Amino acid sequence: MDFGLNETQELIRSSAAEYLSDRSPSDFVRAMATDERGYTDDFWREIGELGWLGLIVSEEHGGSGMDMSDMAVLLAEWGAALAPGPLVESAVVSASAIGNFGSDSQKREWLPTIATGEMVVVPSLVGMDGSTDPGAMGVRASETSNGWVLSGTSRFVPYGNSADLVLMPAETDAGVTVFAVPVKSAEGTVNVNRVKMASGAPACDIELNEVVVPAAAVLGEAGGGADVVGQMMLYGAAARATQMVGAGSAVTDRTIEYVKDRRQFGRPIGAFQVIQHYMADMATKVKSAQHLVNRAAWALSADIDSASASRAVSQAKWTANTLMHDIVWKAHQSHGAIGFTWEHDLHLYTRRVLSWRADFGDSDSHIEILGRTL
Amino acid sequence: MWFEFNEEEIAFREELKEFLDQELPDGWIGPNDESSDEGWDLYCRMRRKLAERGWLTMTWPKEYGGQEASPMISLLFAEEMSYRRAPGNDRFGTRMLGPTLMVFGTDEQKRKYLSDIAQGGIQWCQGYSEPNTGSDLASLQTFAELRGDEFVINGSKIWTSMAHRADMMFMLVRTDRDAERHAGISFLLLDMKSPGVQVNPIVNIAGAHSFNQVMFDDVRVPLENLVGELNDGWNVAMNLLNFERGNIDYVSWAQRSWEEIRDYAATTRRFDGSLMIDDMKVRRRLAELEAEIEMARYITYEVAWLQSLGHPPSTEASMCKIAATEVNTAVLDFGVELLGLPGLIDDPDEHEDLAGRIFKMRMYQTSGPILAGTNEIQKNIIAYRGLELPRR
Repeated sequence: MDFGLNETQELIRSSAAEYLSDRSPSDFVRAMATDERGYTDDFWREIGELGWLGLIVSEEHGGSGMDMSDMAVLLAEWGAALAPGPLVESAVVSASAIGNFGSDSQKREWLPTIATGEMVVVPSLVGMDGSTDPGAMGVRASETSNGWVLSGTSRFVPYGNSADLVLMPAETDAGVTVFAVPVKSAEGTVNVNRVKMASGAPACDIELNEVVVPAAAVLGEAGGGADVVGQMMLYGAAARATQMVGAGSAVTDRTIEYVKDRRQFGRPIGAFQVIQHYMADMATKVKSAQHLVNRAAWALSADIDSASASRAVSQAKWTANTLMHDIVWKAHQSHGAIGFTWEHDLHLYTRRVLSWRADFGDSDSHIEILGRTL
Repeated sequence: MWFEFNEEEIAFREELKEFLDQELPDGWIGPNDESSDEGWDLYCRMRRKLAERGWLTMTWPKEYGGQEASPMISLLFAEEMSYRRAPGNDRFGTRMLGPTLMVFGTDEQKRKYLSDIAQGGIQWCQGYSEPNTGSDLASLQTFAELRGDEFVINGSKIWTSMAHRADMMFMLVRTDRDAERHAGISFLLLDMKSPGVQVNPIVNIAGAHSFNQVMFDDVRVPLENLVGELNDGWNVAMNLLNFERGNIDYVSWAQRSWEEIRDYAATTRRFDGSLMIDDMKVRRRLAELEAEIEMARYITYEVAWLQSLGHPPSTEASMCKIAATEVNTAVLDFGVELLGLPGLIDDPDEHEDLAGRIFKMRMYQTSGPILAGTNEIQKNIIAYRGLELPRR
C-alpha cells in the first residue's frame, strides 16, 4: 500500500495547481461557460505544450507514456480549478480507446495530434433517451462498396462543435461498431447543434445524413463496438470521478475558509459545533472518495484483472457521485444567502458536480453494475 | 499510489489464516463470550498461542522482545483476527499499556510487566471512564490520596471491559484537587485483587456481560505503581490514546457481516420461490454498503501507511473511526431489515443461523459509534486539529 505521490506525480500536482490558478481563475471559467466553444485555442495549445494532453499517450506516438495514476493527479487539480476544455474527452477517453483499439496507422495519424492539442477527439456515449445505455444510440451505419454510410443523430456530444473526430458508436448488421467520424470534413451532411448546458461545457446534437466514411474509420473490429464503448465508459468514469473529487475538495476548502471568516452572534460561524460537524463530514467524505478514485485510476494502470478494475471504477464513480453531491449542498447550506447568488463562485462548482454525475454512467447504472457482480 | 499488499504482507496473512484454521474450534462463528467460563478459557488459550508466535507484541521494539513489525503487518493481523471474530488479541496490555510503559515506565515496571504482557500471561483492563465522566475525561473524580509510600483510592470506574477477568488495571486518578483539572491527574497500576476493589457486572443491550462498574473503597496502591510523574497522568494517557485506535476491527466486522448477509440472501428463498438475491434492490443495497466498507477500509490502511512513515495520524484516525463504525451499523441495519421477522429471533440456541444472531450483533455494535471517543467527539477533533476551526 502506498497513498503518496511519487516525484513525477508531485511535479504534475504542483505545476498543475500553479498553472491553473494563474490561467483558469473564476473569470475565465465564467467567460468560457458562456463561450460558444467553451474553451480557447490559445488555452488548449498551452495545455498541449505542457504535455498534459499526451500524458497517457505512448512515447512512440508523441506522448509521455504515463498511466492513469499519473493522469489522476492532473485530473484532481483540473477539477479543483474547474478548468474548461475536453481534457477527459480527448486526452483520456479517446486517447486510451485509440491507443488500445486503434490500428497502427490510426495511432500514428491521431495520437500525436491529440497530444499536441492540434486535434480534438471526443466520444459520443449518450443515447437518444439521454442515458448511457449503448442500446439507445441513434445512429445506423451500413457497409457499401466505398466504405460505410452513417445516418442518424448522436446526442449531447461533448465539445462536438470543436471536435475534429467524434468516436461514434453505430448500429450495423455486424453489431455495434465505433466509427471515427471527421465531423468537420465529412462527405455527406452533418449538422452540429450546440445545446447550452448547466455545466458550461457545450454539448452538441450531431445529425448525420448519408455521411460516408472509409473502412479505415472503424475503431476496433466491425461489430466489436461494445468493447470499445465499454473501455471508453470505464476510462471516462474513472477520470470524471477523479475530477469531481478534485472539485469537491476545493468546495470543502473554500467552505472551511468561509465559515472561519463569516461572523454571526459575535463569533465566526465555524465556532458553532453544528457547522464544525458539517465541515468534519465534508472533509471525511473528500478523504473517503479520494481513496476510491485513486484506486480506480491505479486499477486501470496496474496489472489486475479487468473484472476487478471495472468494479473499482464503478465504486469510484458511484462514490464520487454520492459524496460530492452531499458536499456541494452542504456547502450551500453553510454559505447561506451569499452562496445563492450568481456573483458568488460556489454555483460554478455546484453546476459542474451535478452535471458530471450524469457522465459516463450515473449512480444508478454503476450501482447496478456492482450489484450484478457481487 | 499502490493499492495492494506486498509479498511479505500476503505471506504473513496466509500464515495467520492457517494458524486460525488450526487453533479456532471447528465451525467457529464467533464472537467469543468472555463472560462464560468456556469462553474465557478459549480466550486465554488463544492469547497464549498468539503470544508464542510473537504476534501480540509484533510491533514492539526488539529490546522488549518484539519484532518491530510494520504498522501494515500489524493492521493485517487485526484485520484477519477480527474478520474471524477470533478471541485472544489482547489490546489492553500489548497495544495500550506496553507501549506506554516503554515510554514512561520505570526500569522496575518494565521488568515486572512487559514480559508477562508479551507472553500472554496477564490480563489488563482500562480504568478511565467514570459515572459522571463520559466524553469529558478530564473531569474524572476518583481520588488517590498519597499517604507516605502508598496511594489510597476512593471512587468508581465504569464501562470497564474485562474488569471481571482482569489481573490488573491501568487507571487515571485525581491526585490534586486544587490544580488545573488536566494537571491534577496521575496514571496508576492497580492489582485487581487488592482489598476494597469491588467489580459489579453491567449487562449491555445485547444481554451480555461485557463491562462493569468497579468500586474503590480505601484501596491501597504502592507508590512504585505510579507511571510517569505525579500529576502528569494526563500526558501519559494522551500518549497512550495514540495506540488505542484499532478501527480496522469495525471494517472487518462490517465485511464479515456483509458476507454473511449476502450468503443468506443467496441461499434463502422467498414465498414465490425466488432467491432474495435475485431481487435487484437487495443487490444494489449490498453494492452500496460494499463501497462504503471499501471507503472505511482505505482510510484505515492510510492510517497504517502514515504510521509506517513515522507520521502520527490524528484526523485520519478520527475519520476512519467514524466511517468504520457507521458502515458497521449500517450493514447490520440492512441485515435486520432484509431478514424480516426471522432476523428478530433472539435465542442463544439459534446462534449458528444468521437469523438467530443478527439482531444481537446489531445491538452489540451500537457501542462502536459511542466508545473510545464518540463519533461526535471525533468530529470535534477533525474540526479543531485538522481543519483548524475556531473554538469560539
